Amino acid sequence: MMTDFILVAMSGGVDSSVAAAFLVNQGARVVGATLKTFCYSEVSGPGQTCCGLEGISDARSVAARLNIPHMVFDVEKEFTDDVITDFVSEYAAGRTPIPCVRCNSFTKFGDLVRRADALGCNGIATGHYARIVRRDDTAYLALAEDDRKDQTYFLWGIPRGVLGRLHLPIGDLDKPAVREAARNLSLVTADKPESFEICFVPDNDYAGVLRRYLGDDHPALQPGPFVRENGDPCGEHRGYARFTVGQRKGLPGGYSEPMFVLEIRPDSRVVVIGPRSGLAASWLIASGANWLADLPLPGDEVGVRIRHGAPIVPARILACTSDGFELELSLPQDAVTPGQSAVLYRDGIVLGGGVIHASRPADSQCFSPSASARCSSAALPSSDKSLGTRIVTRTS
Amino acid sequence: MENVIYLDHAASSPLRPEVWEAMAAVIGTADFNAASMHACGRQAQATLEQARAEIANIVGASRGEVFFTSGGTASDNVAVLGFVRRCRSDNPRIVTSAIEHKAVLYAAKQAASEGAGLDILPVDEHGQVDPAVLDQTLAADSSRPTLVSIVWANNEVGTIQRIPELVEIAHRHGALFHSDAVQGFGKLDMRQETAPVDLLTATAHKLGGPVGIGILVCRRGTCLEPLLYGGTQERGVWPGTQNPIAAIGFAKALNLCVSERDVHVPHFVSMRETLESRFREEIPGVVVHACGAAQRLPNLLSIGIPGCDQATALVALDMAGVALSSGSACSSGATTGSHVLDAMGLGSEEDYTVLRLSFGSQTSDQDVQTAGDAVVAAVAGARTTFATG
Repeated sequence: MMTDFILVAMSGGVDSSVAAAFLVNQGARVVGATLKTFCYSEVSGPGQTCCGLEGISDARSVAARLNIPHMVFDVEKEFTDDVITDFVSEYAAGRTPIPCVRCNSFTKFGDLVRRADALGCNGIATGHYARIVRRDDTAYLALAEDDRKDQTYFLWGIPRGVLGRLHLPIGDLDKPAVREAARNLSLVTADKPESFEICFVPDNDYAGVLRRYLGDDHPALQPGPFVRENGDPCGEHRGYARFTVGQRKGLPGGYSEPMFVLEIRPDSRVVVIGPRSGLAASWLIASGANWLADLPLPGDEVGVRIRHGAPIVPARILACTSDGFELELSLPQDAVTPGQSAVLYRDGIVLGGGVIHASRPADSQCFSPSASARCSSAALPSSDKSLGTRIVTRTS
Repeated sequence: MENVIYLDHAASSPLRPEVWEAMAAVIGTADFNAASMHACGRQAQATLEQARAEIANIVGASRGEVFFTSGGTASDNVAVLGFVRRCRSDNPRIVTSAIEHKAVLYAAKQAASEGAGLDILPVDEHGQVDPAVLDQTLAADSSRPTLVSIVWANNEVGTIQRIPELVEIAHRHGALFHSDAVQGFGKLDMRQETAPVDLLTATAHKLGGPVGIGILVCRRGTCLEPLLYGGTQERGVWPGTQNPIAAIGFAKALNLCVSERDVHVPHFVSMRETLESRFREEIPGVVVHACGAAQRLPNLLSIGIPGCDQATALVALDMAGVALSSGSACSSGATTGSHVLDAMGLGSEEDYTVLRLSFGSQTSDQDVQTAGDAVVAAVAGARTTFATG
């Protein structure tokens, strides 16, 4: 049997370190690669540059420990085009993007495949908490063993063609087991704290990133009105880009129940707030879809996750094309947020996903059959920036 | 590293066994604080001064003109910033070139931010500074205290500047002359009588000496403001407890390098030429950097391959057991655009891969043959578009 020759994406964290180590221990030929996605010199103080990035240095140390080659691939330009620009324009449009989805969909996996091909690697691997399962000789992306760590929510946009050669060595483990393995292998990353930040947003100051790219005078960062659901003004905010649907912090107080952001209207810079009951939605449209299995059909029952860490809830497909889908949730969900992902599952397999484009409150009139049909015809927009369009292009 | 063909001596040349022995020989007598009053301190100081004398002798300077620092970056910074800060009240000026090592270039930019004038001279497509341009630049403003800082031999492409001529011009205009001589040190004739530079930077680890020790040769009468405070070691130029063992290692490496020069330099040139003609034949579209320069470093060959993915080529070479570099990488290991090639008007093509092969005393013809095979194969595998030229 031919020895597997695998390119492993190593971020410098414990998960991808252990992924690489497992593959080495299994006897594969392994090459480590760290993608340098941006240069810190732009986002932090003097003296801090990409050269000082701890992640790259840790990945190199782990590669030295495992005695495998390691390279740093500079994808700064691609990352800026595919991820940061989208991140900024999505916030400017009043939505809440997930840059990790964009990065996986466009930058990371596409680049890894290209590099792997150039190096003659037949496999690629990452340290994601997800699994590859094979049914009838077809590879599918499946939920991780550890449901709390599952990262399939961020992976729905990867090219389907990757699945057949993708290795996810830690998908069967939970985090403590990964750390234990790293300690047993004396990897420097064994006890490295987990990062919950977006990599290019230091200190979680995403408003600072927006200011830098949009300028202080962009409407998204200008004051605007808070209004209640009925249109009554109730205060002023410092820029709608600082808010996300479902957010509770930073809203006017003095109400008998907690207030949440219900909607953001960029055209008028309005941020609509209301009680929790106003957040519930039971219908959504997603665009920019990507499919990792056969497309579901209208009427199919599927599971859907609308937020990282949220439970997978039952839903019924109302319409579905290669570009997008419309579905009805069996139970209303809070904060179905434009810009976040809706990821579809069946029997633990990821069917595909899309970016939430629109949702309707649980009690909306849109639920009449005719209104639903009208929504469908207007739905599933496929702009040239949409995920689906580009993915189709790449995998075709 | 066994089983690796190491062709990255311009980055760092491994410690030579003779150097290791010379350093080991003074352990037990020189590993004390050379500033201590007692016998042990005196012994450490004697060792340090012995090393200083040997180095001074080779560069044609007096012992009092050789200052130990922590390496090339330190020496460059002391030269540039020490000069500017010393004459800050007299409106100082730095004249340098566009292909300096960043230790000079960024020190000069820092000097400019502290109020110094800064002129960055262009280079031609082979990386050469035109002496006439230096002459004009200095003539245009001769009233200010000026330090000219020009790299002796460029670390990325190997161009050797006409240092004697440039020094003469600088001195004619009353300017001081500093040269970062890290790359050619020990291989080229840098004696004061050949080129009477006022300040000269060199470091040990490019010649098979230890990492972490360098020198600044500072001609008597050249005054610099210290950058570090709290000690008077090295007469304030680079304060801090000195390292006599590393200094002995530096002296030994330099001695070896100079005594073997007549053997090694022609061998370096022959290996460089062999590889160069091979690459021209076997890599379509290859560009040999600085090939038209009047003089090039004997032990360095830098080539450019348009339409070839650099990171992929480097990984393939790494896997093939050949260690070389792209000539320009930040310490993260990511390859970056090169200010040197930019200044030479090169490398703007899509996917322009740069490979720098540099030899040391242990490099054999067989190494070069094997590495050449690996380079040709790696480049073929990393070709994104096929050049036909």
